Amino acid sequence: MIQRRHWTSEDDTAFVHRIAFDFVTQLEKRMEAMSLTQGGLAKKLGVSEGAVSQILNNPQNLTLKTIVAYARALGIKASIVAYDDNDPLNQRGPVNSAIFSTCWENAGKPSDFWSLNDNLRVVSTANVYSVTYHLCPVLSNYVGWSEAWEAMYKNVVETQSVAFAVPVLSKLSLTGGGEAHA
Amino acid sequence: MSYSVSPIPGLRSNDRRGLAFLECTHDADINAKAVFEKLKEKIERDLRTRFDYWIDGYHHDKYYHGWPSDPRYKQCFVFKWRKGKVHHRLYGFLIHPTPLTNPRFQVCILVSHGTKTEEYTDLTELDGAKDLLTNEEVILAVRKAFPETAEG
Repeated sequence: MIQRRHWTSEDDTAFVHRIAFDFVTQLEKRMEAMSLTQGGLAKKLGVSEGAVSQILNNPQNLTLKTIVAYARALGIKASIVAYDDNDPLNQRGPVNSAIFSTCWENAGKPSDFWSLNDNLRVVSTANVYSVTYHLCPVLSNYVGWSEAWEAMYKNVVETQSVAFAVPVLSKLSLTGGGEAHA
Repeated sequence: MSYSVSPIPGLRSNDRRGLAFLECTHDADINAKAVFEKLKEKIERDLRTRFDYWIDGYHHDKYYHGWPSDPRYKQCFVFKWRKGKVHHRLYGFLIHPTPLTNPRFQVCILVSHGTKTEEYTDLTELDGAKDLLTNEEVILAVRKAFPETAEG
């Protein structure tokens, strides 16, 4: 069943509806985590409960000002993200905004590009160790376990990258490590 | 064949999940598609967003859920919305239509619509969806709509 166009391609209002719904879903999850009712949120915002209900149930007319006000009332922030997901015809629809926030949280919640790069390096190194751990038994079929680990570790330190496997494997192959280890 | 499975226009599947309607020529209770097509634009878009969420693997019990812990209804599923004080439900069942080429691919086949005034689902309403899973014609219709392919 191949769908040519996602329903949010119908017109701009459909796309707006979807991303507004995503935002409200995030607000509602936050309210649930805080055990905050619509009445409680209304009090924080200084508006009527009906006004909050209107926004949460019909968010398609959200303004940036309202987005910021609601997010700040819940102690969180909002961002507008433009992204290229290699889907120019919008056959797959928008990426759920919770995916962006989850990725940001998983990257250690960086607040600037310095911490972003530092955190990515930590994550990358963790991945390298994980991959190294799983690859070493494979490599030990060709060379000794300790030699494989040493080669991997050296590459990790030098490159800080998960792109180590190919050069290491090539190097081991070129240096005659291709004979199966008993 | 009196049963058929039709895709939901504008909704995309991925390699993990898909959604479709069951239709039947002789059973008026199988009305999920007819109800969906008559929804007002706002409600329809809300529901489509819930469909997208489920297909994407987003966990949100308030919008949809199954009963994985109940052996009687573990293959049943429901999408929910509310209009005023009336709680609406689209009931369906879950099935893996491509066990050979993509066994993890799961489809939710929406079957019937129900309304209620309490928030919680009356489990007996799921019996209709559950019984369809033992109907060979229904299973054939699902497999025809979601055939085994090299890509799954």
